[in-house]
Amino acid sequence: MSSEQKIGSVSNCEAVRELIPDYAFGLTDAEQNRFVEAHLPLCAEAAAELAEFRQIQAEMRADVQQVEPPLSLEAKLMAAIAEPNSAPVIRTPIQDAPSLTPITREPRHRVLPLGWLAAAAAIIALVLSNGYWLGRVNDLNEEKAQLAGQLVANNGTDTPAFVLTSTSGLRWVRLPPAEEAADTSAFLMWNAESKIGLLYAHGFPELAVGKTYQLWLTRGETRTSVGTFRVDAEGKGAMLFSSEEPIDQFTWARITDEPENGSPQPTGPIVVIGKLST
Amino acid sequence: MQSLFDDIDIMNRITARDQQAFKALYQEYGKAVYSLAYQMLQNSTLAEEVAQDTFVKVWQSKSHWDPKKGKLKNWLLTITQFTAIDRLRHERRQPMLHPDSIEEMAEEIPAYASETLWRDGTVLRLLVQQLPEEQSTLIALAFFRGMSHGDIAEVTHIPLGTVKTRLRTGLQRLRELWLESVHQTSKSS
Repeated sequence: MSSEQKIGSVSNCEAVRELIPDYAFGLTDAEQNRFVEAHLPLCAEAAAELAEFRQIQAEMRADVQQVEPPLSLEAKLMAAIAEPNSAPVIRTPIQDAPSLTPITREPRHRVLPLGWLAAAAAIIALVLSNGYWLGRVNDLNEEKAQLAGQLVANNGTDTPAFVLTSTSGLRWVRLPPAEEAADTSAFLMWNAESKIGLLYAHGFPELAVGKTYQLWLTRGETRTSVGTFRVDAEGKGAMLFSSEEPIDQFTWARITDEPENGSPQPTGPIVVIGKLST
Repeated sequence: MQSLFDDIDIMNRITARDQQAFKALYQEYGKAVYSLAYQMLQNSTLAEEVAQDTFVKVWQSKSHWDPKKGKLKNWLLTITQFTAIDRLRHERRQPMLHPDSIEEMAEEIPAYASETLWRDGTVLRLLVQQLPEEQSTLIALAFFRGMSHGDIAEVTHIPLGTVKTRLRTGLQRLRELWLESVHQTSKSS
């Protein structure tokens, strides 16, 4: 008996048919998958049965109760594909998950490398304990004045302490490097209700004299500068920044290499870029 | 309703980076994609992200639709389902954050009572109504939550062997009922 005949034997076909329901629904293990896939071309009945299950599955996907998507989804999608290098969606910390509570209720779920978590914890400690970071908030004088005004005027949602300690609306994203091979990345943290955010940059190339890094928040064609910063010899830098609008309302964040005092619009190469959660 | 030619045209234009075609694709199928994601995840934020991921994957041409293998809508919904399952599995990989997740998941199973899952008047709703709830719930957990036999046994506190038997029996019965309905439909038309 040839190996092909063995594969296509009646007993094997029966065994394959027995596995088809589980196979169709992804319930078989790797070994069973290999067995089914090896024998399927030679077992017409099993193949037909699998095709029927595939049709049932297509109906199951299409026949669920229909729900209107949020009106904003279309605009978000169009903005996402309008950006160059349209990146995958950055995850939003989950806050409204009644049915999936056991799985998704914690806003802490975003998976971050331990190094990032350690860096974020260190930044929070520094920000809360002294005003050092405020001194680096903004190299542009008018933005610095605006931030100082906000910090004095607001006892509520626009204080650094609120941004970094109110975990109910805390959001963060990693901004990956624009060039795949680079080790550069940045970490952006803000609060859903706030106009203040925190940036931590890591692995950035040392700047040439007369140059600075500038952080931009963008929405559609609008690019809003929220501050400039420099990095130390290890390529690390941080700043607390403010925005006139809630940060949630922006779609992307990017950092570019700009002249020392910053630019009204981005002119230099993008170092890191990432999509915000809204 | 889109014809096959409309779908082929729209996908050809998307391949050529036509943003208006992409918008048209969303307008035609966005609700179906979001609905499936929502029913699987039971969370509007997650559903929105999964729907967004699904359409961005299409734009980035990470997978290609072959009209010979099925309808565009089916292909989109398959991407949606796998994307949603990936997201669910990703969330499940955080055991330290959810020491009580197993017990609480058991409590959420009634949310998957199959009748509420299905659109009124669909054949599937009628068929699933004919299955014992102990089978239809397990089918829903396997299909819409991407759970393995072991996951289901753990969550439901039903012995693994019983889970396997009930699922297989339920799926075979579902197929029989579906075939009967197909034959009846073809006879009456």
